[in-house]
Amino acid sequence: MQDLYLPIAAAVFAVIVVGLPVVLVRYRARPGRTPRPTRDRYAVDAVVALVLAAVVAVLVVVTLRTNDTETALAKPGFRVDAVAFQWGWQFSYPSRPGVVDRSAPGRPAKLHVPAGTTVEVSLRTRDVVHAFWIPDLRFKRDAWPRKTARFDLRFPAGTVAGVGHCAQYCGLKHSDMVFFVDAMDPARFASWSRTRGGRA
Amino acid sequence: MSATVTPPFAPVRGLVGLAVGTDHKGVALRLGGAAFGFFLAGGVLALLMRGELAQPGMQVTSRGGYDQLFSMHGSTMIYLFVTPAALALGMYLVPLQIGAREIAWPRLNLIGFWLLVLGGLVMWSGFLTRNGAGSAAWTAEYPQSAAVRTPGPGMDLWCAGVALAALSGIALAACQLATIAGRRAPGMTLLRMPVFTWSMLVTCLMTVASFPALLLAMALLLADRHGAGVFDSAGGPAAYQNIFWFYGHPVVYVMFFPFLGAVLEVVATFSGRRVFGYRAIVISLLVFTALSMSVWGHHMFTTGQVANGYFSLTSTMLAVPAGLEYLAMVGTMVGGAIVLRTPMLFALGFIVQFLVGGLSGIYVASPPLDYHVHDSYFVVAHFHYTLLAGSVFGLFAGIYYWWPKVTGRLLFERLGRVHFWLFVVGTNVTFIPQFVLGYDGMPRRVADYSPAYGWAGWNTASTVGAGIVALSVLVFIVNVALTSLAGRRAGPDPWEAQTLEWATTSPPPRHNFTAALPAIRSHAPLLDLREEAIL
Repeated sequence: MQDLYLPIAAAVFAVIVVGLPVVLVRYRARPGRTPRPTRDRYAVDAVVALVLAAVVAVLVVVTLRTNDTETALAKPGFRVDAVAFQWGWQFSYPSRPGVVDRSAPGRPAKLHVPAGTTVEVSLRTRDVVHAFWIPDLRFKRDAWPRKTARFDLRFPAGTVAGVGHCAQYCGLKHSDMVFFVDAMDPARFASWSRTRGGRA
Repeated sequence: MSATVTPPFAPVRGLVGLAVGTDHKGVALRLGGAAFGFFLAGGVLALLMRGELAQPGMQVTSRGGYDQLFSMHGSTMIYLFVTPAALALGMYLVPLQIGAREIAWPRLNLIGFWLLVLGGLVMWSGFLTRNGAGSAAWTAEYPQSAAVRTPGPGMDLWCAGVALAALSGIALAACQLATIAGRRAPGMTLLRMPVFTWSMLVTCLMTVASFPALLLAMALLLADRHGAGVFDSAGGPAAYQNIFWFYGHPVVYVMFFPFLGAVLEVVATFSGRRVFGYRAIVISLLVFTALSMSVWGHHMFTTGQVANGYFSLTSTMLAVPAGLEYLAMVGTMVGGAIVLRTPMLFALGFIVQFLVGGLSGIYVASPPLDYHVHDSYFVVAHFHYTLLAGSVFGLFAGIYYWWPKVTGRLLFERLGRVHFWLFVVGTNVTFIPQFVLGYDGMPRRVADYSPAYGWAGWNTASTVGAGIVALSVLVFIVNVALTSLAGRRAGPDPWEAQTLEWATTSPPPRHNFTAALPAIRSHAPLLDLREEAIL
């Protein structure tokens, strides 16, 4: 997506930033120069509109396709139940009953997940709207009162640690509503599962 | 018969005149002055925020204090500065540009001004209450804005203030629409109206179509906060956001079109020729306006409560009319004889810097990209490039351009250039770091951040930039003060401009025109006169 949007944006910006000074110098007021009377050329407008419409069509098609694949749910290798609240996070794992990672004052919760496999997150909130955002994964989703949001995350193999934020303003300690992410390779994940009382 | 004509009423002067005078020019100046006052007040809040964020840790205010700062900064700038400044520009100029003696419904227009002042005072009086001013952001999203989550009268005063500002906008826009509909001079057909007046026409259409949604949102929120439980249901929070953003996106163009219109007029005048593709400009404004009513859901991509595909389509389509406006601005310069006076500098600044806001806008119109940057500093940078680095550049282009018409004196050119370059440096030093910070993971509306993230350097740079912006505004104020003491007299038309407001004295008399209007055969009647004189 970036690879499509950024070059187009850069090209348009370059046309204006380079073109404008050229126009300003070429058509600056000089003694003896009179401005050319404006002749409307609506064919030019039409061509520009068509080119822009074509670019828009490409962007929208690619966007919709990417959006479908990104929000589709695959068969998960691991599930997480995430609960947001003022002001912290609680993570539990349906396949590891009794294992709960929960924020305490001054100590953010840590999300434990296996790297390299699909992780399905069920996200709820206990009070206001929060947002679950892991910047390294370039993804966020709001936690909406009385609803459950389901989405897939995939931590690339080799991811060690990261951080997550609440992105939606949620009151006094919004700034503190962070969590840590521990995405583990299979060996570490197995040992975490053993020490936390679950089955591997 | 007596040679003197007795006016139907004697003009009211003095302080009472300031309060009840209905001349559209006087009301517009008072509204513009009030809006500028709110700009300075909102700017002080911004400086306090940037002071807090310059380094990790809490130095300037508390967390609760910071929540009030960013909520009141956004609310002040949007409800009390940019929107009324846009409407003030139209209130002053639309009757003049279409050759009218007075605005339609002048008393309603006056009421609109007072509603805005009242709304602003009510909103700001929250600072005097227990718990302080409104602190649920400029959007007051539910349930964060519910009485149990944001208790205290400050938040109620905020709702009431926003409702009054919404009413003000509806009243003011209605007056300008009625003026355009019924008070055009003979010969002034719709397709001979100046592009600025066209921009105000579509602005006011959007205002009357969308501001009632804001009024509704505020009324329901106030009722909810006092026990009615309006939004306290499974669908309530999404209902609030849908109603709010139904206002909240059209208003983005309410805060953009008038300045686009001003910039087009400035570009035409300082290129010495009429605008390129007049009808394409009009059509793209109308397309923009129609689309603006159907893009609100792009503020809700991450909520999972709207049809992301549809709103992505409509939002991305905005690139087409926007591109045609850019073609018009550049096409007007090609073939012209361009004079780089201060209004033109600000117009050029608008063209380049708004483009950054527009292109990043296309970027966030794509849900897969927005999932990352939504509610981050990337979005903060994006809309400040449209509003401050875009619209406010357009506003200053208009101020430097029409100042001699309004006051009879030309603002100083050299101070204008200093103002311009400081503003360019300041806005970019402030907001380029915010793109980086947001992409790197800094959420918006945070009072503090951990030193471990490595964000201190970019934040310090952004704070320095905000200081430079403040300095540039001080230079403008100095320029205004010096000009009023010793500014050069402007005469009726110091720029060789093209539209009817330049055919009368500076400042214009009570009923705008004393001599007969020139024949109106195009959207640039004064240019027609000059061209006929050459022939």
